[in-house]
Amino acid sequence: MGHGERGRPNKKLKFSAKDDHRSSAIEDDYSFYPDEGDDEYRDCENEGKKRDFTKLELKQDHGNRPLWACADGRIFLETFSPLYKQAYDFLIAIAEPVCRDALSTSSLLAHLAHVSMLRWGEGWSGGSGVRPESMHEYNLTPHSLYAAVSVGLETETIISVLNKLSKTKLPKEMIDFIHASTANYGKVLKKLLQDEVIGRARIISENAQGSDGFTISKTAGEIESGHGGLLMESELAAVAEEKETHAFEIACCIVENVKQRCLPNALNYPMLEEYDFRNDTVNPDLDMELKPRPYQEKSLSKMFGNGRARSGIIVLPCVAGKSLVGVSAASRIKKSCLCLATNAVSVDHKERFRGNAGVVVTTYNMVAFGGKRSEESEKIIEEIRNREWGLLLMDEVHVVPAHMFRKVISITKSHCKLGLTATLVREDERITDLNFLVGPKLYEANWLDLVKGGFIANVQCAEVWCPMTKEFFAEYLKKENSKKKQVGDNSIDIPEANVIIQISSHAGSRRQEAQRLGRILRAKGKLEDRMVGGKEEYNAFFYSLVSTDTQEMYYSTKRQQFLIDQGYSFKVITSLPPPDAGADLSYYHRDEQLALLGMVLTTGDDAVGLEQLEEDADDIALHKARRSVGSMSTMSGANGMVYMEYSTGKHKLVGQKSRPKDPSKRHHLFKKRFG
Amino acid sequence: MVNATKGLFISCDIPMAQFIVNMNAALPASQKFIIHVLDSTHFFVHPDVAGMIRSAISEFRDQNSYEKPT
Repeated sequence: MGHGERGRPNKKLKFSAKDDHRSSAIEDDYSFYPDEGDDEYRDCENEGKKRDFTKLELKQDHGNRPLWACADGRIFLETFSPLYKQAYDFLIAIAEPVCRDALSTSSLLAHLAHVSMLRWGEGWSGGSGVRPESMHEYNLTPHSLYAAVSVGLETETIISVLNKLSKTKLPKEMIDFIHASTANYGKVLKKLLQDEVIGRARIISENAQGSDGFTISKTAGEIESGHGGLLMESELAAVAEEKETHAFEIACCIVENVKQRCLPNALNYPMLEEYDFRNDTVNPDLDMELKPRPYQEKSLSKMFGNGRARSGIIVLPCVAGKSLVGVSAASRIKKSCLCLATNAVSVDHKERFRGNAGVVVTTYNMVAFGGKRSEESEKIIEEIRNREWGLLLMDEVHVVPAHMFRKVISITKSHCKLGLTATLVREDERITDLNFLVGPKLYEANWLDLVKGGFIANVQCAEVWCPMTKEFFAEYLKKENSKKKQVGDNSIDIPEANVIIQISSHAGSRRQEAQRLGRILRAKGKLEDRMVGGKEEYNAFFYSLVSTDTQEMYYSTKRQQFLIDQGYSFKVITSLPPPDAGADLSYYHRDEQLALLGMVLTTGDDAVGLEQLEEDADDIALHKARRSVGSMSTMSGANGMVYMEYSTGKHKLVGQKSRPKDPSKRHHLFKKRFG
Repeated sequence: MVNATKGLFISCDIPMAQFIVNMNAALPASQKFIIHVLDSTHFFVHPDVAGMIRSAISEFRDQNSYEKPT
């Protein structure tokens, strides 16, 4: 069965031959469809009918199957199905999970529900109100299919398993798409060289062998063991054979251009960056060892799928152990590793190792800085640039598309790039650049699965509506207050915090909201308590204060989309203080309110960013992250001081006893110490 | 002799009252419509401005509400 064959009769024959061992119910399904079925399909190809699912034919035992497959490459998976786990493992290997806030699943689900009820006139297994947390969406893209083929899944295998899991007959467009994407694999190199940009970038090495000058090496096809239940033995054997690979070298300065040329808008050969670290004898080794959690294992297996290290991005919630994933990746590669973080505070998180091969932890700013530096840091930066790194580990990789940070990737030479982030959205849509800057999204964790597994806290999100008083509202209407305050957005770890009260939203992005929520996500308390019905079912609380009748209502709703789409429950509290609390509350009396308003209005612009607490009762404010501007000597307390020598008294005679000190002459700090 | 003026009685909540006052203050003197402010939630205004006030308030509300694009 070659890749070019697409006829319907061939497909039917193949299935009936192979499926002998499967239950007879399935074979009956295939003969159930009349041949005219596909003609209806072609009518559906118009743009306007993209959401018209009424033409999909449901199989008879559709209740047992967990997948909906649509003509435009989207796949929906029911999480409540008994086959969920195997289907999930399979889909992770061939498709990309969709970042759920980028679309509205609910209207599509409504269409799908409509279809099933029309066709069969019976209740749908999910009911009419299916929430986002029970249906997951995946997208078949050239990238994801490429990745699947590179770990050894063959085209026909992919199609047959999809068909087995799908409630409906697979749409013809999807089958064609799979064939087209996977056919490209392997024949790429010569075509690439013919393209002018890439041809010029090639470096010819002196010991070129063979007529084409390709370096030939062997690689083993690997596959995840979770597929055992879905694939037949013969298919597994085919995958395990060794394959030959051919390679040529590209000048490092033009690597970014080469990658861009391969994108869908140019040549359309989706690129996977892989690093064959096991066979890399050029770079020295590094020693490390670790123990990861199941979802961390899964994300790493996507990265190391076929024995090589693949470049890409892993998306995990803030406290799900991203750092550990990064460190595990570094330890598996066992070569020099360069870690980049966004600010000096997060640099403290990473472990430090010693050795000939080293791990360097620094910030994006340090490496990308264009201006003049001191001589010492200049030397270090030179060394970073000249060294060949095994792994470039980027924390909070969503900042990388910004102009400055792109320089980092082109300045440093690294074989493999791994990006880690909790939020793969940006408000400016440059997130697609990450595809060729770093690599495709390798793995995205499902937040709710992580909650059920007890790895992150179960958060109760609430929005509190706060009405403004008359005078404040009048001032609000008159002016625009645009000062911004940035606290606690990235990387700060406050493990003991259970509650976040977000006071001011100021046009916040979805990313900021998610990052702040991440501060309290660390799972605390015993696992049993956190299960449904336990004592601490909700053990983390996120309150967002919103002033009614203001622009904040708009921004607040917008920001919460990310959390709602992830499936977090939201409730709105319309009146917080009980009406008789009265005089106990601060600012209850009108004159106090007016005094506060006056103070707010007369405060100069410089003080707007920082709140001065009169009494910092538990000394927690700014405890962990205190940022101030100054030179190094200021920060270490040496500002204005001069080095001075003095005698410590070690040269005195040994026989002298120390005299008992007079209590009244003691320093005041020690007065209470000696009784 | 009693002076009588025909007008419109408006009753609303505090924030919207402030909004109306603000709107009135922003208009040039010939178009100001508030005849008398009774208290923080009631006004007496010119009779023809009902439609204008309603549309201004609904526009303000739309600015503050976010509709998720479907």
